[in-house]
Amino acid sequence: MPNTSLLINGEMFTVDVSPEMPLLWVLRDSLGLTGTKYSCGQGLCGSCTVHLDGAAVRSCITPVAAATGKIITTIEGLSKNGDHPLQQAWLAEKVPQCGYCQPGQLMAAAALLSNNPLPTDSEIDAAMSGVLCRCGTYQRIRSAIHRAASAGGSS
Amino acid sequence: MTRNKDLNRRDFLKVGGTGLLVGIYLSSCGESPTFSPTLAPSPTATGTDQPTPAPAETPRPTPNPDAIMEAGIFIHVDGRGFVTGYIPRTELGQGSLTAFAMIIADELDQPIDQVRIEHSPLDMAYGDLHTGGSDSISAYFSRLAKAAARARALLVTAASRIWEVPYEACTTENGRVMHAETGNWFTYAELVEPASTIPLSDVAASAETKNPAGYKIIGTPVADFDSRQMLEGSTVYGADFTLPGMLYAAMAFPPVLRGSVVSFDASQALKVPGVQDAFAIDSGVAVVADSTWAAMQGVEALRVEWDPGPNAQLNSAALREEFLANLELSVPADDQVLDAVYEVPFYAHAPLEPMNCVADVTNSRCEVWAPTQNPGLALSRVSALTGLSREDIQFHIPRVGGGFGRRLMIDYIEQAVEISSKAGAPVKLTWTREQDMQHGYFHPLSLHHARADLSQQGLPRIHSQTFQSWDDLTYAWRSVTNFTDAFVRECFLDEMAYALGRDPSELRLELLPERLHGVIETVVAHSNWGEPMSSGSGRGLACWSTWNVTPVAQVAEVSVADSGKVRVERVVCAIDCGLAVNPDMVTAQMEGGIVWGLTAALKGSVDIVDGSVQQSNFADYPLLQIDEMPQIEVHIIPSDRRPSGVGEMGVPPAAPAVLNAIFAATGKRIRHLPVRPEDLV
Repeated sequence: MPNTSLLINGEMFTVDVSPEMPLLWVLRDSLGLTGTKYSCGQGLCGSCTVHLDGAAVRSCITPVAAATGKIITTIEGLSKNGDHPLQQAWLAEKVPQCGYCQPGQLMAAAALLSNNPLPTDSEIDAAMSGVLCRCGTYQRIRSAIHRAASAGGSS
Repeated sequence: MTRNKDLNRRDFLKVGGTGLLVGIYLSSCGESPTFSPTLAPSPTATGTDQPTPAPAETPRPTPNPDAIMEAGIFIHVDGRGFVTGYIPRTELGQGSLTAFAMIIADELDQPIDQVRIEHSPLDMAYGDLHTGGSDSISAYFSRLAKAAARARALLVTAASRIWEVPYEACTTENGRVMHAETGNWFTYAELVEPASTIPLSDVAASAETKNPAGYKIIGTPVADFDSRQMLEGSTVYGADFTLPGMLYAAMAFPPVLRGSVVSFDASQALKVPGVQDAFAIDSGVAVVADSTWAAMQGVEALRVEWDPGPNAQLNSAALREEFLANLELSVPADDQVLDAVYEVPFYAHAPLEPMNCVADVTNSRCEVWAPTQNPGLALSRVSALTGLSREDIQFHIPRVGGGFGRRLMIDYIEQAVEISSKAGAPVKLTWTREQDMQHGYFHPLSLHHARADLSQQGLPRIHSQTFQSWDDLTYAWRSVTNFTDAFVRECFLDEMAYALGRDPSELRLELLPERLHGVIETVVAHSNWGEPMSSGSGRGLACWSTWNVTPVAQVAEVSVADSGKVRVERVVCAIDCGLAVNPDMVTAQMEGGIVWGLTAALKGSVDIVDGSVQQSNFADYPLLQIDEMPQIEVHIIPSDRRPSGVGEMGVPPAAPAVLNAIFAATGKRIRHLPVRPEDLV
């Protein structure tokens, strides 16, 4: 199998995996970056959301080959000290219950704010409606996005 | 962020002892407690009540970081002044562990960030060894308060003896014992070693729990202790745990529920790069590989001949027909008799973390990292499965990505143990979402005949037909029977009210027990109840006291589009849970319970055809999404009553409130779940 180079959270990694292996499993099983979660495997729930060149993608249906040469950001690299405005807002709104979907929620919300620093409710709906939470934290997710946006949260 | 190679192992800290367990570190103390033994706890935020340093001549004990003061089995204080609570409960997102820490911190006058909760040993001395029935806080509130009061009394006794002053002259605050008259104070860290030699019997009389008026932490909103880690992606769920030399496992399951393997051909599977082995286990065929993905690819490449087993003829549609026939519906004798038949489908739990388990089995011992609500049962079954004694089996329980009753069943733990045993290596078994959806323990399908004689005052009579396969095909699903019973009674009470020309809230106040009245009156007062709404919109009320302990009422406001699409605009909820230890967590559980109920009312359900579940993933078993989320407003009835449960209690009123609102909006009675747009056009 060919070696694949990946730029993840500012660091270069080389992995020896087949090119069609989803990025999700490379992150989790090959590199130990387990903040990116497996839940549906079909791009239906958003728990595995990461950024490729700043855009939110579902890593469970993204072959690792499609991520080479791109800037990959995972939840571990969203901020240096867990202090991204969205992470702070999530904490202030006490969003997480089980917490399993929240890395994906945060990555989807971060991509939204980087394109649209002050989203409306319907813009939040459009960007976030495919990111599922079985615990039902959506009301707080919406509040937290508004909170981060009004704090200038796209950074 | 820094990552440590052995973070996983340390996050799953072992407590030691028999059949024992693990802990969940609270984020506030980082990856491990690192308090300097010589440092006093930080002063409170105001900084105004920092004690004056003790006079120089006061003899000070030297803190011994290795000392442990045991105030009974539930609470230990270590020589760094750090407090650990040992409680047999799993954190699934319901917030119980944070609430336990709040109770201990308040009673012990300890800063809350210097309390952590770990899973207790699997010993019945700690209480029931499962997390279910929304009983964690109600079962442990008094026990923990008393244990913390004893811990406090031991520390105060130690200080009073050193100072040679009366016990009553000492007070506690912020991790210190103080003597006001002299201005002396000791940190708990300093007192642990002397206090550890005092018999608990010495403080039996002096240990008193606080009067609720003295609470400083209980009753305040506190975020889940793991929040920071969860938001940084560093929480180690079961699915994230790894061991050196671990193989990744996936399974092929029989297409018919609980079928079995006749034979299999793994030749193609073994050609998948990374696949190491494939073998049959009791419930299917396992593939082990060097990555989860390779294992799942290997499973896809298996060819298996299955014995469908006893469920090959199982069909939801046929069950429905059979139950309808069994209800023996008769033509009502007169027009004063109101009749209705209600239907509830099978539902799946669908927690976002699929079933998974890490097991490491050798001939002489077994270690299991299991996201489970039921470690007591799991220990017994693993002991039976391996032939190992309970003392040779160690369980570790991580924070869990959603339980909802599914993880009271331990099938996936048995599978991981069997696979590790056969592979001769530690393994992590991960189910696919499809397997999680199709091979669970479902909420049972049921039909119900409700009848009321409108000429007489009283509650309706309800006859039920419920699919009976408890422990085999069905099991507890958030709120269990309360979901079904509330749906039927609360929808039918609404039908009775309209038939009688009565306001549904007034009829309930007349017919339902007084303990429900407070929550009904609260939602009526806050929901614009009775005020006119635009065409196509309506309000519906429902209430229920889940497990007969916690009354909850909800008013749902819906709008129904011409397409039949139902939008829930707003839900006003009132709960009477006694003392709300963490009111924000109570509110969060109501929000989550309502979303659970709305999902059941409007989104996915499970159909079984010839023994096979037809739904497979979130495309055909959809969950409520953020764009469908109503505004939820939660009112907690102020109370000093002992706390009662909240985790399941938001669920039961939600679906009937929505269906009653749909009737108010459209005049159409829907008597089955979930409601489809085609029902309303």
